[in-house]
Amino acid sequence: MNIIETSKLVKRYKNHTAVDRIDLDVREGEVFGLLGPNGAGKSTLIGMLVGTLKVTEGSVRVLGKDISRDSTAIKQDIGYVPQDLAFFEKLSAYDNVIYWGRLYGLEGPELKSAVQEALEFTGLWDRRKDTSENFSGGMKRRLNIACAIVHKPKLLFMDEPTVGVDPQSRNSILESIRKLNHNGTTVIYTSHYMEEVEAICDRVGIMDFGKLIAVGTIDQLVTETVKEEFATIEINNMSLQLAEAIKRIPGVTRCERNQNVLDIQVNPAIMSTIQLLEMLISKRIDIQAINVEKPTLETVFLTLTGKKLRD
Amino acid sequence: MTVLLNNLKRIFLKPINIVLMIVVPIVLNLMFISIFNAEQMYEVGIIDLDDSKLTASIIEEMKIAANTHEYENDDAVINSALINSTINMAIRFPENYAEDMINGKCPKVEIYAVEENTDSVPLTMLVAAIGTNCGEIGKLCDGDEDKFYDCVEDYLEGTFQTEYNNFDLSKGEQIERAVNSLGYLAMGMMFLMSFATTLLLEDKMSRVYSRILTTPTTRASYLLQHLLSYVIVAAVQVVLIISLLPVIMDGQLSFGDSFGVTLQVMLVTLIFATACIAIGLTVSRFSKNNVVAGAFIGLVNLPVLMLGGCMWPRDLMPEGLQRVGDFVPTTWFLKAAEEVLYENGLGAAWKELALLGGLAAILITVSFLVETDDKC
Ligand SMILES: Nc1ncnc2c1ncn2[C@@H]1O[C@H](COP(=O)(O)OP(=O)(O)OP(=O)(O)O)[C@@H](O)[C@H]1O
Ligand SMILES: [Mg+2]
Repeated sequence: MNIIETSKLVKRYKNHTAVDRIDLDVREGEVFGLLGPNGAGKSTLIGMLVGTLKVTEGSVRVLGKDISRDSTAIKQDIGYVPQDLAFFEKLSAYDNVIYWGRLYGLEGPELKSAVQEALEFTGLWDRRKDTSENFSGGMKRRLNIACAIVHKPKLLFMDEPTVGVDPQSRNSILESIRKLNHNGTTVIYTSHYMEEVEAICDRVGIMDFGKLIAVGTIDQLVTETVKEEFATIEINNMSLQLAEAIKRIPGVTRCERNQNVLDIQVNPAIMSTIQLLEMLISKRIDIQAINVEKPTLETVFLTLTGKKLRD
Repeated sequence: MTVLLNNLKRIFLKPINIVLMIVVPIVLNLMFISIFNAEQMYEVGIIDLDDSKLTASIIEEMKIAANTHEYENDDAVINSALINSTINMAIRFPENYAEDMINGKCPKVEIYAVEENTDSVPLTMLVAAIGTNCGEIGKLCDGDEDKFYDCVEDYLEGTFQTEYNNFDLSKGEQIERAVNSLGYLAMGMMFLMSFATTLLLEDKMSRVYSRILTTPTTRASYLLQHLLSYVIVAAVQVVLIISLLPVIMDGQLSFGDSFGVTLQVMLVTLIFATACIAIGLTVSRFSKNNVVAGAFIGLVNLPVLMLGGCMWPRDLMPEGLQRVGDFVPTTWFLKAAEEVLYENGLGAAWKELALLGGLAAILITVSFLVETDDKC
């Protein structure tokens, strides 16, 4: 079943279309990654899905219900970690999570244990009495998450939850997202970090200029979009003529020389990397090292948009 | 109720808020009323032809309520002083005033005042009363000078002080003063308006507002709880100030002689406060940040206070401005308060109260129902 379905979804500001006719399906139980550069429209899309932004055109169904009619029922079952920290800085971590728990209708012992669970989950239980104002950046990020999961939502939106967090805290956040997902929460995750998305997402949607330009599993995206192979070859006695000669071989689409190292891109429909290497060896060229690069989401993004994700 | 309780906590746990809400309006009131009181000192011209121990005592006692000025016995000088309002009144003690008094002859002082000017009436009556009473003492003492002075000293001691307090204000003046005082209170209420702005905008700035709207708490519920929390704060403010102020003013100010009237004054003030809060809430609901809201409130605040007669009586303004003033809530508030203070009941103020309530209702409906992006 699809937990989110949008159809021709548009968000237009006066002179700017931030989200442009997006058809998106997110399946129940998956971790879905939204990838895109600054200003691609990720947060705007999520804003419409959680009901804080008015939809200009198109329709949104969340948890099988129409957001324009059943928003209160939907909201009970979703959690939202906003891109910007959003809690009461003057309150302690504990009081904050209590506050958000209450807004979701939790009370009494149930509320208390849910709050404890959320704080333990995010590793803040020991610091629960401290005013959140004095937390480090990473702790604030974790509190931002704790406030969104206290009511155990079926569907969790996380808008760049790890910005400005050190690698160790980031790993623990990623780990907890896996755990949440394992316990049945569907997660929508936006990020600039390829590695994060590759580490936790089952499927990925790539956005650019308000459009959803590709959707699929990482493998699908890679095999469907990346038609070329990438390799670096280190050669002894490298010469300018040699580099030029290789560049002229049919199928080689790119060849950049950096002292003894060649950065090569080939079109396997004409010649695969293996065939190229065989050819070089047969010409008795002294190859020192070879590195065939596995294409990643970064490569996918580069291929689709012609730019790096983080410029 | 989560939003409501949290708001109350945020308001009452900040000492500065208590100061703004309770202390500032009271201090403002004290300041303005003491200015009024300074004006209430009488300027009295004295022509003492007797120059006796008795007249000296009476003049000495009068100084509690009046500034006395010695004059020669020259009608022309006194007349011009009265006409120029250098003095409110003049008193002439005739020759042998004390001696006649001791001998039980009840001599009369002569009092000069401008006829249309009623300012001096209370003091005139008091001086006349003192004359009569001294005469009575004289009759009883039967010519015994020492005994007479003993009795008179005792009698004069504090006469002016108590009498002055007792009858210096007529009912009308008292109500006028209470209405003035409510005008200053209205300034305090306008502070509330900025308050309503502050917390809501704080929520917007910290992104808490848009986050709350992703929970089952609807915008209407959130705004209603904000509104309620300020109405509660306003109720505390109104009850405290209206019951404390007369006590602090030591009887010089009264919001109604009976508990019922005072209660009605509180109610009228609270309705006005609700209208103010609705304005603040609407402004902050639709503005993106503090600067916009602050500018707007500042722009609205001052003219509304001025046009509504909170800073000076409306009658002092030109006719045109008064008509414009008919459209500001402060005017409705003070008119309603006046009706209630004259013990005409809430019914007599229905039009003003309906206007205040209607304004609040319209603003609240608009800010609850109009759809906008809730992200800033
Ligand atoms: N209120 C607004 N009025 C006009 N334009 C807006 C408004 N909000 C967002 N935009 C524009 O919409 C586009 C999408 O913004 P959005 O915040 O969704 O991007 P994003 O993908 O989340 O970027 P980031 O990775 O930086 O968070 C941007 O060009 C932004 O300038
Ligand atoms: Mg964003």
